[in-house]
Amino acid sequence: MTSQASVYRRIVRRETHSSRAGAAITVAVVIMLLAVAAGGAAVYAIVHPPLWAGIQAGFRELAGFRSTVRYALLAAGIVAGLLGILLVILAVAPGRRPRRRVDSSRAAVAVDDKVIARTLAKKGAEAAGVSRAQLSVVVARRRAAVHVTPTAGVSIDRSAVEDAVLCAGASYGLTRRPRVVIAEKAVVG
Amino acid sequence: MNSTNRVLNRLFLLVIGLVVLIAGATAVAVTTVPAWSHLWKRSAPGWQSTLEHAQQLGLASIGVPRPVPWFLAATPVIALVVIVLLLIFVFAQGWGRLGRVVDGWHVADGETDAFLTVDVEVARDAIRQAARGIRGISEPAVTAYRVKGEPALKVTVSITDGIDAATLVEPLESALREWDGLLGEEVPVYLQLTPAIGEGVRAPLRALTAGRRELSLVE
Repeated sequence: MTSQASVYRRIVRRETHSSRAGAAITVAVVIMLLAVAAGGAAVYAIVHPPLWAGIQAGFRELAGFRSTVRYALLAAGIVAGLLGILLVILAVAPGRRPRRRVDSSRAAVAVDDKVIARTLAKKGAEAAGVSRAQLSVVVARRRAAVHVTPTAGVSIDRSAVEDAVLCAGASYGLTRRPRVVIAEKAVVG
Repeated sequence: MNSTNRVLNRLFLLVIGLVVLIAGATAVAVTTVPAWSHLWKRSAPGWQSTLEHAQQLGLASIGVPRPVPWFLAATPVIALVVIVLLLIFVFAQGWGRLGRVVDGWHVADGETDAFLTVDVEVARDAIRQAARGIRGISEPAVTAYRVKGEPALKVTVSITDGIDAATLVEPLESALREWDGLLGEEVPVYLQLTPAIGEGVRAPLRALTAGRRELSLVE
């Protein structure tokens, strides 16, 4: 019997990282379309000789390396190069999903970053003495960033907001002091 | 939690990415680096000649009256093989979901000797019942997957805006332990806490669920 610890490790790893299925399926579909086009063109060239003559003329153009061919090749090369870099990045980057693990004695628990951001926004708004609509939170890996728009005539205690957000975020691994930005413009209360 | 082969997905992206990157870099080098341009100009006539004087295949048996270059005949076959392999690759994604949490456990004591089967619906109803008293969450969605050859449950719970998810872990654990007690065994559980969707969308979904229950009672 497989140990539950290894099952949990696998579950958490799979649920907090992208499978890259979407990218892989997209690339596979594009290759299939190219294969259909190449196969169809080859069959048509076999039964319809003028097309094969046209393809041979294309080869000659390419071999001739005239300026139009050169520019087209350069443009195609740049596009292909960028696409290749994007695919390699997708292959090797961790692909973390916006959710993080929370300690539990019974299950593998993961909380979406949106849930955490909403919790931090509530705590931050309470500490700043503003409404939830005046505060936005962005959750990064180790710290949160809070943007507060104050109410006209009411000052905001920055350190109180930082403490409230830091305290609420600690259980989600947000151990670094949050960055709190207080907007220069205020809203009328 | 599904059984999608992630290593294969990444390997596929890496190989295709490297092929496309090398092809693109070669095209750029051939057009911008003089030494590569010379190489291209010198070798291109040779490739062209190879293509034009490639070995001819007679395809009279399939109704093609004149011989054709071998690579022209091979292209549709290779394309077909590539398409079939990629279709297998695409349709292999996303499997591993189970309809049963328990499938054929042998239960044997002095009085009983039987095989036990438990559908996912049983786990879902039990966990929903146990979680009913927890405030600030939606009805849990429960699915089962095979992970490392063992059944595991995925329980997804939507949380009402602003409620601290960390405070819900303990009551949800208790709900899961009630399910453990019912089953008599601890099946691995992945609990995912997600933000609630808008009230306007949730209300009709609840109504639909209630309607389905009534229908199943009539049946």
